[in-house]
Amino acid sequence: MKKAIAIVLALVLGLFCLTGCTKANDKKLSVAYDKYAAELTASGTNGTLTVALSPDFAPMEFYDASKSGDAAIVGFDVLLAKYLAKELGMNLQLKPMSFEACQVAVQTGSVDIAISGFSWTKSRAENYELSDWYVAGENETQQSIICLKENEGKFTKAEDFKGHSIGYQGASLQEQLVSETFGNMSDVDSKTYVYADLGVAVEALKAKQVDFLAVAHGNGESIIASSNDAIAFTGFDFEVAEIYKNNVCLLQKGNKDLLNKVNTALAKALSNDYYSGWYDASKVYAGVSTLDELGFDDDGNKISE
Amino acid sequence: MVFLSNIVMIMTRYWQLFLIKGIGYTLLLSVIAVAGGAFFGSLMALGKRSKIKILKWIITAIVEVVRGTPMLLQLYFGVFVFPKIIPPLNALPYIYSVSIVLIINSSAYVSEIIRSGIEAVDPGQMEAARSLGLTQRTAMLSIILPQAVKNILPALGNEFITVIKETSLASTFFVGELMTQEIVVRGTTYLALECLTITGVLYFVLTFVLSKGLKRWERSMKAHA
Repeated sequence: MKKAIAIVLALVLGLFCLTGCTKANDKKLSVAYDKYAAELTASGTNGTLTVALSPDFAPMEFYDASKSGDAAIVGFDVLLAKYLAKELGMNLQLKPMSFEACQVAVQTGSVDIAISGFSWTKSRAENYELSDWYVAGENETQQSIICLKENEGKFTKAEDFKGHSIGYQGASLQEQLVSETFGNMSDVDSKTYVYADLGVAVEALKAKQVDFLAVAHGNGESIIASSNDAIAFTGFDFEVAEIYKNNVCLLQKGNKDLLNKVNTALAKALSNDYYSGWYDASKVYAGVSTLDELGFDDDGNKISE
Repeated sequence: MVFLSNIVMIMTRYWQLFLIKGIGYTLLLSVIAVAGGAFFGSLMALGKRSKIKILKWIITAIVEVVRGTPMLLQLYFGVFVFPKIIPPLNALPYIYSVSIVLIINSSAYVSEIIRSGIEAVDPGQMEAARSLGLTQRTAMLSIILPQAVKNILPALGNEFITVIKETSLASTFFVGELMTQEIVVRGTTYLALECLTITGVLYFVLTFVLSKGLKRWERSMKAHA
């Protein structure tokens, strides 16, 4: 018994030491992001804007373990939420919850708005007020298929996937893309699998239960970055209709007043080209790209050509 | 091997999330649920034995609805409907609504445990107590309940362990317990199997240690009786 306790203590101590070593790295990852976040700190006199989001979706929204409270939720959509709150002169309150719960929260009026990488779909447009679109880098404009490393480059045309299985996250844009791209080809007998969660889908891919996964390109980069070189892009990209290329915010049906204000703020952000900087900073933060690759200097300032 | 090194990597980076925040919130929620459940559950069990018909019906209805619907669904209702009934909840984090749901849920189960504990005491005990001149109230409090409590303890311990596992459903609302941390880490690393393994081990250690502890406590209770 004493021996067991000693071993556990030793392990915990060892972990303490290791965390000491890894801390230094994190600072550099967040430096560009933190600059944007500080600029967008809201000071509200018009009440509080409550925002639902599902922070399990790097680089759009995810957690930074080294921070606490609301500051720990980071990513592109968080910057957008901060920006909206600032434009509306409101305080910001983030309400993290699962992707499905986000929609219920907006529907019941439990939150003002959901900003969680939602794509435009017909049924969403019927049941919610959807804001004008915003651009999240190539996270939505480029939709790809990932596979095990050994299949890299072997599948580049839609016909190549004949007879193989393709997985995607349920109720997502990818679901729609897979059925549009492969469902219409009558001679393709590919099987499709639906997953509730991308992380589980990636496990299924690794375990060879499914041959391919349809993902947004940005998520694909995150997945590949943490796969120890086991996963790669196939090289096949979906043809994405213009309407799916961007994200929208969800608001409660009938909340036109807030919708108009949000759309005004989004139009301003688009014309001032805020989005690309936010997205690049979030990508660096999520460990997908480095500061150098995306043209930041070491202090996190965007280098303009 | 990659699997193990991934687990080590995740633990070195995120151990505070799992070991401190996650376990902390899981235990906090479970204690709130079981303590609240024991208190309101006892009241409900007694209420169910009362002579006021309406009270009996209401309690029976609550118990049946709670036992007949999934916990996840109850949480959804708690988080999105309770604040409409109790406006101050709107301004509070979801963990308050979630706690209320857990207490209601646990009360329903505990009240059934207590009811069965009371019913397991030989009715002859009550008759004997009454024939010796004790009032219904004293007979209940000093003859029946002490015997019932001893019947109940093991089941109550099981309820605590069940609640620990059930709090994982609250991760839908990111209240911070173990499963929330699992989702959080999985969301940034996309290493599902590794995160699930860590979380599974932690849940098992929690429940295993607790059930062993409860067994020991039960034994000492029996020895003193």
